[in-house]
Amino acid sequence: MKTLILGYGNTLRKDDGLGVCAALNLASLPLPIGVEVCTYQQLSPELSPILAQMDHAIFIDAALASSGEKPGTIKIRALHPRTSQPGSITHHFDPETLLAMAETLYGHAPEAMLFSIAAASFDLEEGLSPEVNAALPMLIDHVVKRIYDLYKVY
Amino acid sequence: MSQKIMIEQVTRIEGHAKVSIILNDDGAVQDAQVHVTQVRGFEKFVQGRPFYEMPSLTARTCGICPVSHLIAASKACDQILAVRIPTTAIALRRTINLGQIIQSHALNFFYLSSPDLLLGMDGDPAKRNIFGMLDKHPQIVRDGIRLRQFGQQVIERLANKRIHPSWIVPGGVASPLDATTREQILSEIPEVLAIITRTLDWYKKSLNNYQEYIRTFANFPSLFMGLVTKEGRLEHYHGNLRVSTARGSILADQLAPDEYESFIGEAVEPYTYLKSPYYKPLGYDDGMYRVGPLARLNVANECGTPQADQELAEFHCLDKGAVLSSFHYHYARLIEILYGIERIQQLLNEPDILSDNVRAHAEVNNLEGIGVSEAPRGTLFHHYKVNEDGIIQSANLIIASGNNNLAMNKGVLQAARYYVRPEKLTEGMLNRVEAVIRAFDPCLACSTHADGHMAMQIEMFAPDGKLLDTLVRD
Repeated sequence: MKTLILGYGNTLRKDDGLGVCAALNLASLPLPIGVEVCTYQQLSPELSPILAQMDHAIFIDAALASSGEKPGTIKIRALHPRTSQPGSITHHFDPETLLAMAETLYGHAPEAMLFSIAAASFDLEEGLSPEVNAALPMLIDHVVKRIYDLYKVY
Repeated sequence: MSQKIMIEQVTRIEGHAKVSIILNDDGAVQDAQVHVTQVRGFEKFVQGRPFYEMPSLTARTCGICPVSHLIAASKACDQILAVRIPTTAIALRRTINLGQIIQSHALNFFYLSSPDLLLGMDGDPAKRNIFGMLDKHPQIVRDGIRLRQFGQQVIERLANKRIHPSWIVPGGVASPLDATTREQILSEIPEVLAIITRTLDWYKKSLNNYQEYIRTFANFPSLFMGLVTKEGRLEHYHGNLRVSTARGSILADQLAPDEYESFIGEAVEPYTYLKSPYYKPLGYDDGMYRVGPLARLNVANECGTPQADQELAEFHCLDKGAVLSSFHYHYARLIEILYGIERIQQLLNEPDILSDNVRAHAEVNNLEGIGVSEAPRGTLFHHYKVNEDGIIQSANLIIASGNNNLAMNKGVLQAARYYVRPEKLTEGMLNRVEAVIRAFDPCLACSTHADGHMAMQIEMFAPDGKLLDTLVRD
């Protein structure tokens, strides 16, 4: 079984660096054989053939805090290949679009989940905000639990 | 009183721009201007930094072509060190530069421009993108992805990082090539050669479908400039500059890049942050030139690789003199991808390519350095002056896309006059104006910030300021 953990975001934009930070943390842990961890500043179409070779994919990204939501809130949701047109396409792709490309172009999209934390700031600064930093260990625990569940490691 | 139509923002390009189309009292298009709306200020804020930081600092100018800046900056720093770069380091720098050209050209052709070519200029703008091509043209999308991936992997395998690598350094490169990496890249050459060959075959057969755009997309006489070898071959790393005319004759040859200030003037226009360079001997009005793939193929006698040479011979037959239509930037990009793949194969088969001797070390020996190379979009100039401690006192950058500024503005005016009917604007009309800019593939991120929002709004005002028509693309 092959799983890709994909942390993405811009480490120069404060909490946007969450995905990269979490992925680097995960890469230092003893993960089951078949789990690959990678980091990207942005998602791009070249990831779709890689995703098509995976059974599972775990995306990690910072999220905009929705109205009334506290920064640092952890959000986990299943992802499915996009069936409608994305709002706009420039150089940045969302995970659902990539899954659709993997499925349409290469015949297979992995089961995918998105793990995120509501951000406090996307300012031009390195390092995470205190709120997101405090939530990071729990987010990593959630991802590890997901991996353990997939690989039946207890 | 004149009226004005705005295209804001221009989509599917690198960076931010907007277009003004100015109408006369009769409602006809009188003028058009491409505004690059944000300033980066690299020339100013690098002052006071040590010269050896310049490759890494200036690479941050852009996320698409950082390797180009690394190369031009490192070449300028090589001059400050006054060292002789090991031949293996030069071959490796050439290789990574070609990897970047391949990935950048693939990005423009397949991701940004092919939706116009395959889905039509009047297609639904919400679907006129790479996602919209999945169902109807999956093989084209797969081919684009593979070619871009190959170029990115060349960069990543050599420099351990796809974007903003720090492997190219003053004096050479940071580490030698290992045999495994060399074999990995070489093993993929047949596959990507097959992809670009079938893409060229398809594109050439399709050219008849684009005759109107060929005729109207920045199709006018201008000068063309690019680096060539002493023999007049296509060159992206060293060499001297050649300037040719619209008729295809050589106006100036083997111009030393170090002396660029003697033949390139840098004008500034009030409506844009992009410089307006021109060929000085002919003056601002007549010195407009084009750079980039179209210009490089126009000025070169040959490529120096077998398949690309055949394609170049065909390309040169498109017009009697130079190939004038900027629509043919697309065609030229494909030929340069082919050349890049073939040339990488040649470079990686050079006998000393695995040598450990890849960097020369020295202190500051010159107080000035000029580095010039061919970036995907054209000739790139980095010029630094340092003090005796190697601290940057001044920096001048002429970004590849800036060289095309005057021609791009003229091209937009030509297309606006042909396509825009102010009495009733359509999105398709304005997309054609944008597509002219896209053909040049300007990397405005090199001179502006690209913060991702690429909506477009076009407004047409009556002479009294009354809003007559609005077109919005989210």
